Amino acid sequence: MRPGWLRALPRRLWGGPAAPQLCRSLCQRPARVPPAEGGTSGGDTSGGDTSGGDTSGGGTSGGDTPRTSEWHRRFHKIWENDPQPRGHPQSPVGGGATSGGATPKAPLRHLRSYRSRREDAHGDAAGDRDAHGDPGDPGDPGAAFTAALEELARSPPGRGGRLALVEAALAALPARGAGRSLAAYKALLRLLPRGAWVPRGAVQRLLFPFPRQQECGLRLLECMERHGVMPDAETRFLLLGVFGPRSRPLRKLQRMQFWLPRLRHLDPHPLPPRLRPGLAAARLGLQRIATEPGATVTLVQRPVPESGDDEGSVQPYILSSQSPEQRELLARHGPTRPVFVEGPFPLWLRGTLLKYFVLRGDPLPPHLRDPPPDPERSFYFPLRLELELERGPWDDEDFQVDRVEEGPVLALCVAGAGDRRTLGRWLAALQRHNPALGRVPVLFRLTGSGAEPPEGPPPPGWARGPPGPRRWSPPRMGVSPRGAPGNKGWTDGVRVPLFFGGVLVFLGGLQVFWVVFGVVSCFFGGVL
Amino acid sequence: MALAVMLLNGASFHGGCCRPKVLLSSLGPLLSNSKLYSSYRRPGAEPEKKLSWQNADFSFKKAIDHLKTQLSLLKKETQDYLKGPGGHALSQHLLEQTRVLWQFRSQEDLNKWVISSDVEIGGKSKVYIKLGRNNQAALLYGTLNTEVPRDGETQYSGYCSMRSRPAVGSFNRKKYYDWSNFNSLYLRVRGDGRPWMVNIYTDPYFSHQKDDLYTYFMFTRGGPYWEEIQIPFSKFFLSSRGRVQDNQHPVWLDKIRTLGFTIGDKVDGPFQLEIDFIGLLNDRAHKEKFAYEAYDKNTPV
Repeated sequence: MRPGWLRALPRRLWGGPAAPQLCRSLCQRPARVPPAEGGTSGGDTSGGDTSGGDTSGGGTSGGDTPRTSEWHRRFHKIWENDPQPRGHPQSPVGGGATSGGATPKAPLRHLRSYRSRREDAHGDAAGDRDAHGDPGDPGDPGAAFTAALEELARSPPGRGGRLALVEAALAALPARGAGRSLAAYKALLRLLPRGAWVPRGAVQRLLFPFPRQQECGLRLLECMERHGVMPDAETRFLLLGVFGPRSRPLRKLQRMQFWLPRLRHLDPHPLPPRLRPGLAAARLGLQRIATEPGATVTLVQRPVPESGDDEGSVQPYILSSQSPEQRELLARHGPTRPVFVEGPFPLWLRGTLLKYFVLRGDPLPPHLRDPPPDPERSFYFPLRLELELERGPWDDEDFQVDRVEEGPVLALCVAGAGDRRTLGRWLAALQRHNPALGRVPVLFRLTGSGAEPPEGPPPPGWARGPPGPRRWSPPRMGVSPRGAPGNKGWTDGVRVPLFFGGVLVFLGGLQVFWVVFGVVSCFFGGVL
Repeated sequence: MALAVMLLNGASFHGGCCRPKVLLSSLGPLLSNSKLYSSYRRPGAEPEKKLSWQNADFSFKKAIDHLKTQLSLLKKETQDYLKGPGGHALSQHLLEQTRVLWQFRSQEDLNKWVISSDVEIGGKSKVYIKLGRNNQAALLYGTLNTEVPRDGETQYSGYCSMRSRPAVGSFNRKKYYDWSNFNSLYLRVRGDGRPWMVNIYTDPYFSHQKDDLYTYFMFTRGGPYWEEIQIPFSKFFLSSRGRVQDNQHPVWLDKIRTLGFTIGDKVDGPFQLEIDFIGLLNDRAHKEKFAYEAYDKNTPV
């Protein structure tokens, strides 16, 4: 508390024009709860929660380390008593005249974002929107954590140790699964005292008031930003109450509210917000990469067990995709040239890694390819009509570079495992619709532990599993993979030396203004 | 005063330093303990005991060789200057709509790029680059590991990047790329579905701005087909040390030093990116000057 002589000073010296009124409005909290009632007042909250009881006199022991502060003890008691997640939006707040001075009486529904209100209505707080891939438990750990924090906010033990608890809870938030839940962050903010950390006046604001507290607020917002949680107006209201206007957390919130909506929808190929794991993700992945018109995805083999994407599973899933054009191409592929099964290639769906394999044909040498069709082969009507009004015939947007020569893609497959039996099953399924595949030699080009030479940097050897055989061709033996005409096989790369010295520091050049001076320094400098 | 500045700048003896260290080395013992302008030192790493000017190597033969190469570079530069702007004919400069900047067909094309990862700060990500099949594309691959190095300072980790070497003229002078004829970056890549960041570094004059990067995102789709990604320069926003800045302005296209690709999407696991070529495009249908508001954003909260 401020000493009496400071309170007697005229307002102008310490407080700005509007600060007193604002601080007064923000400091509207009831009197501090006397220690004797601290235990019993916490017991009349919702649910069968007996967190009151035997807390040793609620007053804070000032010399405690944060580890053993009253706040920590109370929180652990609540956590061990397994708080009920908030099932309905308006939970009754424990008795009016008691503790809970730090919390507003009712959730400010008009300030909350649509998403947080929907979370309440559906009762699930955390795990629905998955961060990177698979949602874990549907909201259970995060919701319980949030409920514990809210419980603690309703019955705070005292005045010390708050910041330490909030910092510890913030560090534990992602581990508890509540990193994506806005309600958890708001519950954390409600634990902080309102008005005590608001600087009074411009002078105090200038000197970075309450540094550790403001840094805690910043870290909280940083955690939100990292998990992609958008703060809403209620978060702003809570931060305003704790830190006051023109503070660093408020400034950061303003930036978040400016930039996150702009940067959120930049992905031209967005994934659905929720990704169902297992076969559904694989199907989505295959649909994503099989962009040929008319491509159809067929399930060749169901996974056994259901999440059968490991090597050791009984039966990994196989999904195959082929379009009519590809079938036609494969039918025309002569039996003298081989087709290649290449893979496994990685495909990431936000946090899920899938493996896909490609059946590629052999590219023809340039002199054997069909010439491109003559654009003037019909004089009666144009065969291609491009009505791009902003780009005219004077625009030449072709690059003077040879594109990569690769054979045509004949089929795609996403499989749980890349071993010989699985790929064989895939090819057998393809052969049902493409009888030509039975006559064509199939060569396997799998990147695995044994397919790459040992020297040089390690290959993309993330595909675990035994390498497939070098050749598999039922009717007749084809050419060896290394000797195939026109294909030089894998080349060894040389590792470019790592650039030491930090991300943003470059090997700058020597600043020489005159050439003559540079010549002179050649002789005196030696190694330049 | 000006002479003193020039002497300071010219009097450093080796090329392995960045601009701030020049000042440091010239004033020698005065600032040897000062961390004012020192470059990044990884937490836990020992400070360098040897001062930068002590690394000088006086060898007459090497100097003559070096002088020869620099003079030949200077000759080539003069010829380019006489040919026309940017070393091309004037008609090409005025009419060109596309330009190929980097393509990956041989090892020396790969040597124009530098790869780095968070190993610099003590992390565990790995990154490698090699030529793809038939020397037709570059394959940048590796593993991202978001485990934070335990040095007490670092909060986040897990990034890998590939940056082009800055262009250097004769006598190690800085050269800047001039891309003012174009308005989009054109990339022909084949990714694995992970989002990348494209960074443009303009190497500003003032060292306060040395961390300024113009950034945008490149979202790959994955799959066996090549993607042609066009990113207009009006979409690049200004960021510094990973933080988006309040005062935004469009990137100056005539003072570009390096281009870089970074992956840091907080997902542990392997990544892969194949790049066919990187070029520039003047898309006449793209009329946007700048995508973000340039007014003052620090309004009263």
